[in-house]
Amino acid sequence: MVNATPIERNQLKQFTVNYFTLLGAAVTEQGDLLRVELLPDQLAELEGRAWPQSSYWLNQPEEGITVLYLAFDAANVSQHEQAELVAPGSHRLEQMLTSARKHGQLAILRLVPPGTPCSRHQPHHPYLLFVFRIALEGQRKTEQLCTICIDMLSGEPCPQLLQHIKQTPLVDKAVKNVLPRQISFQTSWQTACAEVLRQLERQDDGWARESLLALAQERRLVDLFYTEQAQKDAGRATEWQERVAEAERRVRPRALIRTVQCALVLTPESIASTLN
Amino acid sequence: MVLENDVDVVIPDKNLIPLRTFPITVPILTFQFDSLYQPPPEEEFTPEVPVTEHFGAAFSRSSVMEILERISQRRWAPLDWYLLAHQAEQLSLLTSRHESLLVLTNLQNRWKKAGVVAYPHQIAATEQVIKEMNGCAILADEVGLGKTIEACMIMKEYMLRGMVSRVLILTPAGLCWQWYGELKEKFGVLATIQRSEYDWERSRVIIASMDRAKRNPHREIIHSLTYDMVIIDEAHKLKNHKTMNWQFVNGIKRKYTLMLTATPVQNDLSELYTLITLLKPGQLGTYREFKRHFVLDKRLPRQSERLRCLLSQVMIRNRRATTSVEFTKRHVQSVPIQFSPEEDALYKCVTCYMQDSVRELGYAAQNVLALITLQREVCSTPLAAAVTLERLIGKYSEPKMRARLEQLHAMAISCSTCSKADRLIELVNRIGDKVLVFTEYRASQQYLRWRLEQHGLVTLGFDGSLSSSRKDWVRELFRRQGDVLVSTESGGEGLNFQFACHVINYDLPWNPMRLEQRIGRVHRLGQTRPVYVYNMATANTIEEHILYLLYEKINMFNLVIGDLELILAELGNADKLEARLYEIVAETAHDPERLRHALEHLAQEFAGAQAQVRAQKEKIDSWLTW
Repeated sequence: MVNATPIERNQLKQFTVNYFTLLGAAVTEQGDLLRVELLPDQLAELEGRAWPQSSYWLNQPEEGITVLYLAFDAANVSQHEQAELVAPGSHRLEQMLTSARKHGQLAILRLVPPGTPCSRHQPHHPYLLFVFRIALEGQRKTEQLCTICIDMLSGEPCPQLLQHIKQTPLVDKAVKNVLPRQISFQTSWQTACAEVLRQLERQDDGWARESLLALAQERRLVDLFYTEQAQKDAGRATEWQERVAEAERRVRPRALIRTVQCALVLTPESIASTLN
Repeated sequence: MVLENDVDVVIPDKNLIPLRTFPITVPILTFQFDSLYQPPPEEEFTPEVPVTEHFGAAFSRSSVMEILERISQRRWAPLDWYLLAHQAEQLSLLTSRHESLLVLTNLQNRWKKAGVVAYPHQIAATEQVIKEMNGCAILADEVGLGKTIEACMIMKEYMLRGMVSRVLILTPAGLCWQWYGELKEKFGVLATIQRSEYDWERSRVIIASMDRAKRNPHREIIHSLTYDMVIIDEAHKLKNHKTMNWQFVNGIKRKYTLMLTATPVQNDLSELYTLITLLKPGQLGTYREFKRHFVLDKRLPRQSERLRCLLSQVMIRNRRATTSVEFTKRHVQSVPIQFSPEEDALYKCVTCYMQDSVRELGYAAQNVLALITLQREVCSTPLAAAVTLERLIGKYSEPKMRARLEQLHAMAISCSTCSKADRLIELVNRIGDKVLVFTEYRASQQYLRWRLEQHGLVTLGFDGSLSSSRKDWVRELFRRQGDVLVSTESGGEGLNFQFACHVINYDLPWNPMRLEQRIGRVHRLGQTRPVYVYNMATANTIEEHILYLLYEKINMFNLVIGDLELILAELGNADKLEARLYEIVAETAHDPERLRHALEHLAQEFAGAQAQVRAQKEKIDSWLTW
């Protein structure tokens, strides 16, 4: 069973509190557990189903409220008979992650530099921020996130903005004066993809080499077997190819990249001009 | 008068049977939503482009299309949700960083509720298949050690890691529902049981009978798809490479393969070779190399150590003796019943009618089946016999025959006692716990429920006509509020009733496998209490003979769990045994001594098959134990 490290547990707990607070649920600490009170619609949202729901599978929370007891350490699960573990891979965590992702995939953000007079009416420079999830699949699978920022006027990547975003408060209030973008969303995505590839190229690809070695071993067995078979029966050549393809599906190294979040970041022109 | 639930019965004006439809208690119960695993939607990727000389990359078109669509619809999220979603993305990376099994964490709560316990050998097998065998393995545990659970754990682990989404499960037709139930109840995976040819493409996790799938048009469709994982239950049916089964499986495009069998080899080492070659061609070399290196004689390996080493790279075999699996004790008790004079007269008349008819009509299978069924129904409840007699009267136009049937029918409906039902009520009250009662007949089921409810017991009915969700519902009702579940269905579609531990076989099925399945509803891995099985049989009737065969001669209630299946397979199959029983009863209808003798003979054959199975097991263990 997965038991998160203390740091991970804190992150998980923080996320859980944030999630349920945003959902509007009542969250309280009860010993080492988190007690969450959910109304039927909030429970439906967490469990990924429509609300109100059809009549047959009626939900029957006590007096309309469902109470969850969440533990972040396997050792604390025994504190309450209904306690559920929130840890990497746990069902509740997966539900929260799915729900959060669904609601926060796309946003318009405005950079508000502290101490700088900044009005909604001053010109704002549009940037598009893409968050990519990269799955490096081979003999093993690892994942990483990669954030790329594209200037919607120049069409160029703008990594400097990422630094600013980390240090500068963001708000999601609308802006009146946005400079007209010069490139399409699609073009900016393509530029971001090219940038992701460049970043991947710079990384150590030991994982890929290791997978290629494993693939070579699998192939050697298959080839040895089918060389003789194909001599006897030419019809088995297709089967040979398919068995090789099967081994490749399992261990051939590849990066599968998904775009998981996107934000239109509006930056005061006064700051944008300092970025490039 | 017509009963509820499709059973057309003329109900006599007697106080034995009520003059209204049988009341059925349906306690009010509502459900918590069971949130099941949602496989991610099918994705479309751009063509792969090289990144370095060692690997390439592809971008998901589907994911960006979703975002572009949101942009066009201006579905902007508030900042807080955006930041939370980003936090979610970061946290989900933890999943891929942890090497230990996610499935155990994921299912912890579900298993706690369902009373499922993962045994150490199952956890070890799951880890070994994923970490060392790269998702291609033969799971060859001895029967009863939970190979299905191991396969499901492996599948779910891959699903949680985002490495498996499309799964094909090939199984004998009779096990489809069992797989469905296990996946849904224990793993939260809602699979589809294949019914139409459209199911192949639209279902992400599909369960299908091997016999159906291997035939066109299904075969062609399956061969045109690519599966992330193929699971083959009863994989020993693939040990001959010339068979349609083998060739069909060999043609499936797949990534990971799990084969489940307790007997990867039976008589010939080449069977093992064929099976492993299907899984991983070349693992044992070419056939010529295999024979040269590893076969001394077809039943005797050479270089056993090296062979075992190669086998251990693709096969896992756990044995009962080396695992911590312990089934709770099974107590079996016969409950003898004495007919009342009325019932006895009815039974004798029906038997007499049966003997005369067999003499007159010969041993044609259909005739014999109907007549023996009638005889068995009298042993169950007079009402069940009345239903069949009513049907027979409608079928025959010949006046003499019709008159005789009408006479029997009149006897059945005027029978004012049912000693077996009386005894059942007594027994249920004595047990004072939840009880599963199995009967073979719908009419008896209705009648028993009515009788039990007359005594203040909350009963529920369970039968093959219920949809799977309805079955879930009935089971939950039974678990929470029911006293007695009266079922006509032994398989129970994979549902388990481990919260109960008393099984009453009100009627005995003649197919021993059905009997084992009935008991298996409560006596299985995860049962924590001893299980009590009560077999009701009426003295001096055919039931007594069957009980004698199953209980005393075959000793089937005390066989090692799972062995019965192997023994029956050795004998032909379970249906064949049942047909043999019908044949014996028909042929010896006039002579109880001959009947006893024939049953003894059958029992001897069973004992022979049992010895054969034991010998095979020892042989397999000597080859496959490492």
